[in-house]
Amino acid sequence: MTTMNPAADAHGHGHDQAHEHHGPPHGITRWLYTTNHKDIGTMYLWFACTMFFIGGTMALGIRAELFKPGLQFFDPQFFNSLTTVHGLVMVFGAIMPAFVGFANWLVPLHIGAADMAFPRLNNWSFWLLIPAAILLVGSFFVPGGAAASGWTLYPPLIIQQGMSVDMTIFAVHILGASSIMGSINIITTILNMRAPGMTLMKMPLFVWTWLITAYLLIAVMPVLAGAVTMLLTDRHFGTSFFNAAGGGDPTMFLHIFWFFGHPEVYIMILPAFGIISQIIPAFARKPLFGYASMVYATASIAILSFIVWGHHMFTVGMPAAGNLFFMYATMLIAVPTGVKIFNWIATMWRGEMTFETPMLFAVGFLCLFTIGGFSGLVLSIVPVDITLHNTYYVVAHFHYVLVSGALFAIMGGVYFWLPKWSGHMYNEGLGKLHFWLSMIGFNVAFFPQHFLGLAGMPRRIPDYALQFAEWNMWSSIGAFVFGFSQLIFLYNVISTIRSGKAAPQKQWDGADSLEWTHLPTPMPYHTFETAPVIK
Amino acid sequence: MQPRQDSAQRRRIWATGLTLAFLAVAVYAVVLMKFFVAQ
Repeated sequence: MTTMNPAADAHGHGHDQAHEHHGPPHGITRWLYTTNHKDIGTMYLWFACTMFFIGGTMALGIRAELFKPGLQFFDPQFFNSLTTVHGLVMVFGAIMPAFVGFANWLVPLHIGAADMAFPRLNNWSFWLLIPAAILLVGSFFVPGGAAASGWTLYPPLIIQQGMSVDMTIFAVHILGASSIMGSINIITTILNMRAPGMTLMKMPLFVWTWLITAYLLIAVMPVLAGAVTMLLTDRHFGTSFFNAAGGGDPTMFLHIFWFFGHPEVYIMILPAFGIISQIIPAFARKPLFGYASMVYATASIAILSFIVWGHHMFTVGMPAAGNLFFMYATMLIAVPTGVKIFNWIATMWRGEMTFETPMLFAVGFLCLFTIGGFSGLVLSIVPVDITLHNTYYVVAHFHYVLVSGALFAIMGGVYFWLPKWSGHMYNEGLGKLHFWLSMIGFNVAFFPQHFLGLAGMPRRIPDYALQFAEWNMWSSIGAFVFGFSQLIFLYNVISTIRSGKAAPQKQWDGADSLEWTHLPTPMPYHTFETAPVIK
Repeated sequence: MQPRQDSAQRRRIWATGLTLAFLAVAVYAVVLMKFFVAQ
């Protein structure tokens, strides 16, 4: 740990280091060669934003096709490619990189470090994303079209498709390598570069959630890499891991994939919990209720995530004892998740609350993520799941978790920290308009999908029976409202960066992490060159 | 430019980073070896 300079000023700079103050280089080389955690965080966030709009356009294609029964725009193969690449782009291209962007910006600031532990590795982690994204999205333009097996890449279908699958497999490998390198960087930074006095149990909860998430990533991304490597050898090198014709077992892929896939769900939601845990205390003007229990609940969720993968495959014919084990283990996760929900509510209880845009997204998160959690509990019940498996009920469930969960937290987090990051305050009116249109559009899009699923409508099908027509129409209308309202967000962010009014050092009364209390707005290019002392 | 780290901190950082990298590679190797041996 760097030693404290008693002459450090309010910006965390030692006067003896004044000669080292300089801004970023200019032009494209700033971004190509940067090792600055703020620059890399910014690039991650813009990359995620771009992929979010690409994946969102695919989603609107899906909803346009499903607006009414019959085939309107796409043939079934292309429709399936849309659902597949939409899923992969949103999971690996939008949600995960967005959270890594937040981690890059905030972890060093929250712990009082000058930068990440491995700045060059950090640069590499980001730039690996670009070829991966080109492979993933570019797979639409090769003969046979993009992978159409669903984002889970299940064999035997995935083994039979064209070269786009190889591009997808390569993209997943690269994205996995990037995630692992990012995680190594985050863990190493948190464990070794905290400012004097910043003990583990004093760290902001966002840092804790990312520390745990990074361990999850290191544990499961290599498992996904192993699974897709075996897919590749099955396709091209004569093995039969998953090919029944050669004595292989397609079900084995499901086990390996979901051993990765369920922790992956928590990889996408734990950092969201961290962001919400920063926003709610700031707007309730109270410290987070039950800090220690939040840390233990996060760790419990992470540990439990390794023993619940079977709930994704209740219909493949596991033994009853296996089904029961996975059912009860899944239900157990509701306990630490409930601890977190009640702690957030208790934080708000008798707080001096105001409802600026970040808080609106946080409260929206709380209400809607809880709905997603409850529908998850419904799906954890084996006989219910056997009925609802592969229906729109599942689609509704995971969109409540990942859109109104992860994405709402990202939106709230961007509004919360944008004044600090950019030095400018966003337009609150536009922010609130964005929130309410998102809230209404999202619920109109996804709540009816519960009804469709309960009525038996299967997912990943471009056509459907007439009885499903009305709710599908509503769902598509909601999706378009939600989708186009994101343009307000984009406009608000860009206009804030370019011409928003100057923001004060501490935009939010109740915000108490180091970036608000120790650093000016706008932030210098280099911060905490001399570590602050935490009391 | 990051402030210069003392050598003890630099050693801790590299030890942590390399251990984690080894863990990731080990998980990948174990998954592949288990199934390739079975194959």
